[in-house]
Amino acid sequence: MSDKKPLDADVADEVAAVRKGVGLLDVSTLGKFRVFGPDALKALQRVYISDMSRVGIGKLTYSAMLNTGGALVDDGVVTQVGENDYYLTTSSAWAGDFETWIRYHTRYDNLDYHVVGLTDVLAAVNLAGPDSVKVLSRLAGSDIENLPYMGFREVDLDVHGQSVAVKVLRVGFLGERAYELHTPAASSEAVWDALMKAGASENIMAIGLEAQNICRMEKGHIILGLDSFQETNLLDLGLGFLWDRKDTINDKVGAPALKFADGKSGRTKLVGLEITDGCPGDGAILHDGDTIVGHICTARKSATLGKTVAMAVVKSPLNKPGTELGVFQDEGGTGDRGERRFTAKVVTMPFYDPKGLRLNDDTSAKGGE
Amino acid sequence: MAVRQSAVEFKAVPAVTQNINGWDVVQAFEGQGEGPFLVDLSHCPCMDIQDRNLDQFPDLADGLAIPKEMNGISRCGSFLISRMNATQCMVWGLDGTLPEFNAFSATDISGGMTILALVGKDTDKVIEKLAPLDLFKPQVEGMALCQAPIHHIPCQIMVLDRETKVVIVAFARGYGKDMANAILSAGKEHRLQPGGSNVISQWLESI
Repeated sequence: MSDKKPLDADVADEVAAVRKGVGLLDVSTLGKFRVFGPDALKALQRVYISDMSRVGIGKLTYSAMLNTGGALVDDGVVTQVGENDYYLTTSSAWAGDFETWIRYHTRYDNLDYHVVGLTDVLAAVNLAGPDSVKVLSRLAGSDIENLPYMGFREVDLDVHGQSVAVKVLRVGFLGERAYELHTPAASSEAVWDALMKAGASENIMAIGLEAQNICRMEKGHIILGLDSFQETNLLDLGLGFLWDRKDTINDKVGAPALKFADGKSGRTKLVGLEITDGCPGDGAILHDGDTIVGHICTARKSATLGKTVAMAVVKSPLNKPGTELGVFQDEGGTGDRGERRFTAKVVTMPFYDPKGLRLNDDTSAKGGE
Repeated sequence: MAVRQSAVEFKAVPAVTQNINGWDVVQAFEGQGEGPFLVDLSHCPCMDIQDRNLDQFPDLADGLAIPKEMNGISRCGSFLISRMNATQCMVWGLDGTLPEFNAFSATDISGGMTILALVGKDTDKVIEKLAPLDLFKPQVEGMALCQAPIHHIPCQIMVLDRETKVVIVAFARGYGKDMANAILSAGKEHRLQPGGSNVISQWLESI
């Protein structure tokens, strides 16, 4: 109903902690895998749409896995940890499927590689916000300040006077300087406790998935299944830059479908919306006159931006910036009382920090000057 | 605060505790009787080894060879190796250490699994209440691995001693608390109770 308290109001403090200070989020459900062996790269080349030969030691590569229809089934980061040795993350939903997927798509190739599931072996937290580096350096040492955006390093954390081996991934899903720390699961409680204590002077705050949802949406980062559906391909999501178009030898899963869809008109695209007359719910219908042309994936009244923004899938050519669309939300009642209507305007994404200055800004490591 | 913690916490009062590699390991509980026991061994390190040429691997320690047969188990002192399939085995260190083995094909997964040992009379009956597995069928002799679900949770079940009835059940850490409760509940009628890690030390010394 119209008097519903918006979700973002409940977590405004958590979002503010990420934007202005530091927040700590449990992301242990993310899939984590070691893929190694003489043919590990060939196996990764098959299931990832990017050129995985460019994955290097000490740096993270963001990429995606597609199905044969070109639709995204998963995204995550990959790094090389040694010769023929890779460490990668998947979404939580894909953690149980990755190994089957990669084995299925290489089943006729007699490739010599192995997969070790580490999802339950390693816990993970996301330490996010401009003050995250100050907090982390207290436990990991000041060298961690030099880890660049999309860098990867294995370090020892000082946790209550004892050493805990941790993988540090400098990521930016929430749109701020942030570190994913992958720790032995048995040490997760001690590491969490140590980080909260180390960040006390920065008023570190534990944050939850709704704050994550808002922050990443402001940055225009997708969550599969929320901002995509079964037929949404890589190009529809604006992630075509991930596709290694030159590849002709790896039989990348989904590449033929992308080749076919590339440049075709009439597809549904992921776009940004601004809504000035309220905040519709996720899933609200988008229409152009009497024709349904898409739906809202995620809409929130953003305290950071001071306006309501949304990510939505819209049929082209109505996805061009400046296009006005109607929003219809069924409220479960009857007649006019059972619905709400809004007006939305297509805008460019990301809504927040479009130049990515906050992700790449390393001045916060020097005290923010 | 222990820097490493098990997912299992028994409702019993520790009598003797020792810090091993950052874990507070209960050696014995107050009033610990004669068993049968459920022992939390999650502090024990374990290593996953995957390689196409597993059968050509040298001994991991003196007298500790990878079993050639699938679902076989080899033991040397407190080290165990369970053979899962043609290309994979697991190494377990029941005294808190692992053999020195730094091969490319090895991945240290210590602390990522809950490891529970059932020790003593009627433990076979307890497991039979939880899963339709005939672990102690007379046709099988010696140690053996069974890879099967207990309560729908994929497990490695290692039958180590058919006379004393010692069985180790290992599974993903996240299920630890509920699985321990389920096993203790199933073993109530057989007086199954939490035991300290000295139960396993004593068993190792006895064989």
